[in-house]
Amino acid sequence: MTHTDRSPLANAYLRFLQLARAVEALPEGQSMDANESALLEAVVLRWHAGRPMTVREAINLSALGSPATLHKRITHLRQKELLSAHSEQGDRRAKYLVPTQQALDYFHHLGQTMQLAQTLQAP
Amino acid sequence: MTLRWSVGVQWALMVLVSDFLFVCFFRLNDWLFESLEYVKGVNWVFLPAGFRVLLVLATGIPGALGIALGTFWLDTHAPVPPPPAEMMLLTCLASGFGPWLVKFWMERRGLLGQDLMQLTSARLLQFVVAYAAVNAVAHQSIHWFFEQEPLQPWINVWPMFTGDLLGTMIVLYSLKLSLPWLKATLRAKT
Repeated sequence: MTHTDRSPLANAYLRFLQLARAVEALPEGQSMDANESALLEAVVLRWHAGRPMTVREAINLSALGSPATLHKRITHLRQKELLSAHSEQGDRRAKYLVPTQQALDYFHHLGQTMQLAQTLQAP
Repeated sequence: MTLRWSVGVQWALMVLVSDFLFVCFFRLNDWLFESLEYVKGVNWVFLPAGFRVLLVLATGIPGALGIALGTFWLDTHAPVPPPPAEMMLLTCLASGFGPWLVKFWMERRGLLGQDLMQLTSARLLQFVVAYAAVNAVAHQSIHWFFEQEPLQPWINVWPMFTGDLLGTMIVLYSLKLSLPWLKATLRAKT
């Protein structure tokens, strides 16, 4: 069934659901909590090592939470456009988590801040 | 009921609901933020702008048509004499179809997906800024073209842009805050 086959009210409702998802992901005062930050770091470290983490691997990081909790955090990080999920060509079963440019900018900013702090502390 | 009738009834329903919601929030805005009115018709906070965004993005043309009809009703029921017919028609079209044109333009450029698929918060914010700019420029251009008294559209455009932007952000963040409650209520009822 294509979108033109659905009733106008059904189309409007489905568009409202998409809209609600975007509204839910609108930025807040604090962009990430400590748990999301820890998960993002774990994913980005694996990506940096050249072995991107799959969604399955990420939800099994038991030190960071239960699979359900981690799945929710991955969804939040994807809604915040810090992570994206990609499949390899020919194998669509495994989804790899990859940092977005926004996430890389975030780590770049952290790096700059750390450098600035070291400069200020230097005698 | 044939399929065509059913589609027609649903369209009419969406037009009427959009019309009703826009008029209600226009009146609510007048009541809440009367003190923030810059000049007649331009407010530093304009909540109906947020409903324009929600209605047009969710329903498309029926939402735009409902807002245009709502603007017509508000113009003809204002305490001041109504503006000339051509000006009123253009204002109604700008009010309803301004956001729809921004949506159409963004869809054509691939910035918005079919049926808002893959809509992100960043893209939504881009839409809001573009819509606020188009709406303010369109309204002020129409006023400048038709008004006899001297106007300064290049100055008045900023309060209108700010009012639309602030009003839309208030509505979107109110929706964001109320979504968990809304979902819980819907879940409890099903």
